[in-house]
Amino acid sequence: MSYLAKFLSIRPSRALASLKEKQPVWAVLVATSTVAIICDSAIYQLNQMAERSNETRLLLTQAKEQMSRLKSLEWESISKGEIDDNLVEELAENQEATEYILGKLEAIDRRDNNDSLDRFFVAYSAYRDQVKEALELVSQGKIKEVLEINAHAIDEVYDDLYSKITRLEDRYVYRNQSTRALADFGTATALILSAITIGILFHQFSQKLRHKKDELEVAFGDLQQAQDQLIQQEKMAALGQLITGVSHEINNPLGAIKASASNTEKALQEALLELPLLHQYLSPEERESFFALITQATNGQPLVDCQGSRDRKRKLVIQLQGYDLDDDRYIADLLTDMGISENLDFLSPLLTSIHHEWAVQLAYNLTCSFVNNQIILHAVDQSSKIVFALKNYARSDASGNRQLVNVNNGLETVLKIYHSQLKNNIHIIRDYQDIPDILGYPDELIQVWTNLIHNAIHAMAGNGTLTISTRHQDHAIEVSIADTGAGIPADIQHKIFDAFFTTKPAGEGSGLGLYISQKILEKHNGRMAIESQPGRTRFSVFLPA
Amino acid sequence: MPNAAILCVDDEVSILKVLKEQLKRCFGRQYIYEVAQSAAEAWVVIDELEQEEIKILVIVSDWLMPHIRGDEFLAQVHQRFPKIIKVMLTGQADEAAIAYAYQQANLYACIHKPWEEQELQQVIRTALG
Repeated sequence: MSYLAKFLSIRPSRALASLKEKQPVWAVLVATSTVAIICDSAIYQLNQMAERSNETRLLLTQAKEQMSRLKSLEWESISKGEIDDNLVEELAENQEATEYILGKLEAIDRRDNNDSLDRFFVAYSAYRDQVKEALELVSQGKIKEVLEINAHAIDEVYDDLYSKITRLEDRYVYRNQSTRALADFGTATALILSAITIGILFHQFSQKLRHKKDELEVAFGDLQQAQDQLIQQEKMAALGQLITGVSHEINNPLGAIKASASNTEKALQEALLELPLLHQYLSPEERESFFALITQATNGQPLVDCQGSRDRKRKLVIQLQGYDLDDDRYIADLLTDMGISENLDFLSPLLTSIHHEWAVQLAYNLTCSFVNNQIILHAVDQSSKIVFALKNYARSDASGNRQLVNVNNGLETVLKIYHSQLKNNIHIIRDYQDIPDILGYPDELIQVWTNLIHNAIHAMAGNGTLTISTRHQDHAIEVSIADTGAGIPADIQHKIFDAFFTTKPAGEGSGLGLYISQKILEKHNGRMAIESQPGRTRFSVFLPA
Repeated sequence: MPNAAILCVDDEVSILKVLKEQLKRCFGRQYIYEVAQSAAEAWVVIDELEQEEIKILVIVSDWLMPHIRGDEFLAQVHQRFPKIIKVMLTGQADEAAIAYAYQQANLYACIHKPWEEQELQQVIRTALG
């Protein structure tokens, strides 16, 4: 009740505010039920009161009618001047009925302790006394006295009584009406109160709903943000893996370029110092042999593999043994590096000279810039390719629009970036068909190819055959990437596209690669299929052409 | 005739070519200079040199190579020839691989590509004492 009192005494806004402070629903319900019970009992009481007032009024009306009938009977006997048996009987009957009604009224008077009713009873007994006196006089035959003295008094007393009972009647009518009005007011109040309670509960409920909705929206936003972050992390992780390969691909040619340039410089410095001695040290015949060596060196193929070089050097050593040199191995080494092939007959004059070592060294120094230049050009080509591939890899259309994508080129870009890792004894079979360009997001598709190729390399542990094929059929293109790795067990094949599913050791794979790839393909209205058995796993990607 | 050799291992011919020239220019005819494009080929060269009774003093190896990576190769060499000085020359190697090489191959130094000629020569000169 104290809660209710407090609740009712505070302003609605405060009430709502206090409800907002997470008042439990049950408290509101208990309060409402209490108010409802109180209202109901009050309205019941009021209705009872109104009913009683109405009852009293009816009794009063009956009493009034009864009295006027009684009065007319009595007056009839008085005016006749005699009381016959019929009249006595009728009077007695009416008297009895009147007494009965008055008895009820007396009971009400006792209950209500009503002054007006008291006064009515006083007036009634005065009237009764008057009538009784008059009737006695009539029975004694003193008609004249009755008419002269009592008739007037009786009339007066009766009028007084009549007006009293009429007032009483009016009062009870009024009381009945006002009680009814009060009950109606109570009912209306109760209804309003219920409406307010329902409103509050509804408001509270909708507040809670809105709050929950807000919470859910925030959680959903957080989730989306987390997902974006993970996708970004996955991208960065893929890029990180690539950096290993890329830095190798870039630093290798850079090292070659740097060393070649400084080698050329040193060789030319040395050569320029020695060159003036040429005429002094070598005869014309030896010089001819010397220039022939230079000509052959500049036309030679210096960049052969080591095994070939060693074989060539061995053969040269055998040939040089015929010249009885104490440094045949060193000379053979220089000649091999100059790209000189097996037949050394043209060098015969030079090799028999006492300055043969000086001459071969000078020829080497003069020609090594050609080799070094070739190395530099090769290195520049290598780095350009990787830079081009990187540019393709990172290309993204700022407008976010689809553009025409050449899928074969995208696959080649990824293979270029993975070049260093694919060197590890992985045989690549390119089976490209002439496929049409498709509309899509080039960087995202490259992410898919990167993921599939990376997984394939990982599955083969650096050893096996990677087959990449592209096909065009029925308004679609199919890209399949197959490896000869261990395969994916049948029981986990359905899980591999799930987010966070990974077979790699903790910390190595995010488990998002295939999940994101599939999302990217969905964005392109494409799909991915997998067939796997030990020794052959094939991911097929279908994209609308 | 020198009876000591320096062996360079890298999968790129051009790197081997310039590396050999730099070493040759620095140490001249003191040593024999051999090159190999992979660990497997390096073992062939090592065996050949052993047959010729030529002692390998230093091996300079790349890290990222086909089949076997530099750190593993040097660790294997260390098992058989603990006295050979092992140097890694790499465009990229993760920290773990370098740490592994120091521990398992008693790596003498790790030089990063693109390298300074002076640094390379200095490392080998000091190593050879």
